[in-house]
Amino acid sequence: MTAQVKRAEGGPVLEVADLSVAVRTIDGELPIVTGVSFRVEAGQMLAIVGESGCGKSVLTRAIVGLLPREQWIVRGSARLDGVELVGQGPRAMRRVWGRDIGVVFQDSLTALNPVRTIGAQLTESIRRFREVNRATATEIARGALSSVGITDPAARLRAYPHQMSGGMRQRVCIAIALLGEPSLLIADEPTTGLDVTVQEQILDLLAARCQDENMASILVTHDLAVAATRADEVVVLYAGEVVESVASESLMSARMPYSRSLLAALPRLDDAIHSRLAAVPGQAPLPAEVGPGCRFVQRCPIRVDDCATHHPSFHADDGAGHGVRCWRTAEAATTAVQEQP
Amino acid sequence: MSTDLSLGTGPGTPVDQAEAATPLRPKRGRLGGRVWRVVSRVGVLLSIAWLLVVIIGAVFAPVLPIQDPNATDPCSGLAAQLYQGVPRSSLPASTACPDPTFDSRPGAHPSGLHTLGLDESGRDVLARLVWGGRVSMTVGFVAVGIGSAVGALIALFAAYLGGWFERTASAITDAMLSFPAILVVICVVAFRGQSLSAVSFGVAFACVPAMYRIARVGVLSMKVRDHILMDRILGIRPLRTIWVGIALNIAPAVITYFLVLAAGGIVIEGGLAFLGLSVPQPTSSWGSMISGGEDLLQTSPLVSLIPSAALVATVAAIGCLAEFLRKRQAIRGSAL
Repeated sequence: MTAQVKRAEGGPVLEVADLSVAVRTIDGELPIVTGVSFRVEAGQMLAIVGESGCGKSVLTRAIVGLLPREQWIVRGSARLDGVELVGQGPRAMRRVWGRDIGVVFQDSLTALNPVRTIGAQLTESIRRFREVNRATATEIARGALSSVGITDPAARLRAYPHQMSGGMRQRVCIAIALLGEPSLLIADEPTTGLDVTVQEQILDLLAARCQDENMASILVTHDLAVAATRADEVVVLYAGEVVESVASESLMSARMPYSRSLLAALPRLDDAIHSRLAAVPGQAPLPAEVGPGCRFVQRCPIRVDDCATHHPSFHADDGAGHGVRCWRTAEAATTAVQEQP
Repeated sequence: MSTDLSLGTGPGTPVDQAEAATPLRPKRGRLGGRVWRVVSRVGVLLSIAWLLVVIIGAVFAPVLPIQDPNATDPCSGLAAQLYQGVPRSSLPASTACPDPTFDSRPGAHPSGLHTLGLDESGRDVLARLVWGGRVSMTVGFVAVGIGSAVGALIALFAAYLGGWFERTASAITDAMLSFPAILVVICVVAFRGQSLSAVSFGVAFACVPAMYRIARVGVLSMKVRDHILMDRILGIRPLRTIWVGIALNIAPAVITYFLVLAAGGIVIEGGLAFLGLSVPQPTSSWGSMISGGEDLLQTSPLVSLIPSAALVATVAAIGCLAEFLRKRQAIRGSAL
């Protein structure tokens, strides 16, 4: 309720500014994510795209405040409906979790308790948000399962997680995440491990529910095609920093060489049969190996000597909110994709 | 549960049943495999039956219709020696031998009066076996149970909370594990004197670090699963997360390992009793019964063999049960 009132005031639901996350090691702090900024409006879906190990999950967990404070250091700002989340203790976060932020995890099998029925897990969460008796909670749980497209919810409530399919379980997880009517939904690779048709259904469901509730949402994915078709805005993360931020409809005109090589790596219907998929050569640098220059420099097809020594800043240059972190955006726009076979 | 989940037409229609039945029937394996399955199933049933017999005997020993485990049979020559010089008329009635021709020498073979015969001191072997089972079961299940519960509880909180608590607990249990369990028990008995409570305390004490290690691994692997994070996000109290999210999930492994430890505890008690370090005489214990019959091995081997068989059967039965539970878990684990 309060979230809806705040949303009516306008402004972004989530505003992340210069967020950095570092992990404590024996050798001191090791930065994992550096200087990330973005904003998500109500009803808008933001996709965070990047390859494995680029810091996607760390970034979202830092926003939600799930990183253990003994190990992780979070700096910068993440404001949810104007309320600062960074630096809040677990006590303060407990008021935010579930009610203001809903989270859908990657692996629905580990996200549900294997020894409890779906019904027990749903009703416990419901009774945490609303003061209702057991029967009413079961009624609400049944409704929640129907709302995520689960048929015969009464029977499903008695089922254990392992008795359901992966897609079904992920629907349950979405239902649980939406129980507290949050203003922001974070889905951390919600469709990894699901087959393509189920993946489509789950994404459809997420999009529909976010639309219905006018909810802001963040979709973390490594699938650029998913990001392009589902999200309103795409943020490309590479080695812990944002390298490109672009509206999804202009994703095809991405200018950062990394984004462009990701686009080139997408399989296309008009590719020759049995042709190899284009791959981005090399590997992203480990957090400890990041050099002074551009982090993509070793893999960049259009690098010049300066790229290895000077770190490019993130600049929005076209007035439409399309931001890029590259020295050679002009060249990239024409060359990067064409260099792929 | 599975039929409840079927969608569409109910499970009552004949077509549905035929379709459901075919894939559910497991494929027949090789003959050896089938024989082995039957044998192992029978083994599990026998194990449960034997353990029930021992446990019931242990619990109800005082009221069972068995003889006094510590009384020497009056017809054995030992009784005559014991009461040498005492006028026959002043002897209590129970020491009077009803039938002097009856074979009741020490180590006598089973007879109508003594189902399993007499031991080296002319005492009833069956009665001593039942009462000895009481000692074994107390050490094996009660002492090991308490020790395991303590170890599992410490592991639950140490591994969940982490930090200095876990480091301290792990360091202490590592140090404890570097001593052989039997040495720990001998030390406790040396300090507290020979008694059932001392042996039980020693065995329980030795179980704590062993169970701690196993339970800790389980907690650590459960702790990183997303449903623990989910519980946090949903504002479920940490104690409830620890119980429902972790403890119930590692319970099968803990129970299985408890059985393994129980078998170990029974063996340790048997070993101590064999050395004469467990419960003091004349209280019977399987280990002391085995060592007591040593001198009669050539003439009456049953005196030693019967308690040995009981010990072996009990340990094997517990092992069989533990293995059965472990297999069931493996099947459940693969479904997850």
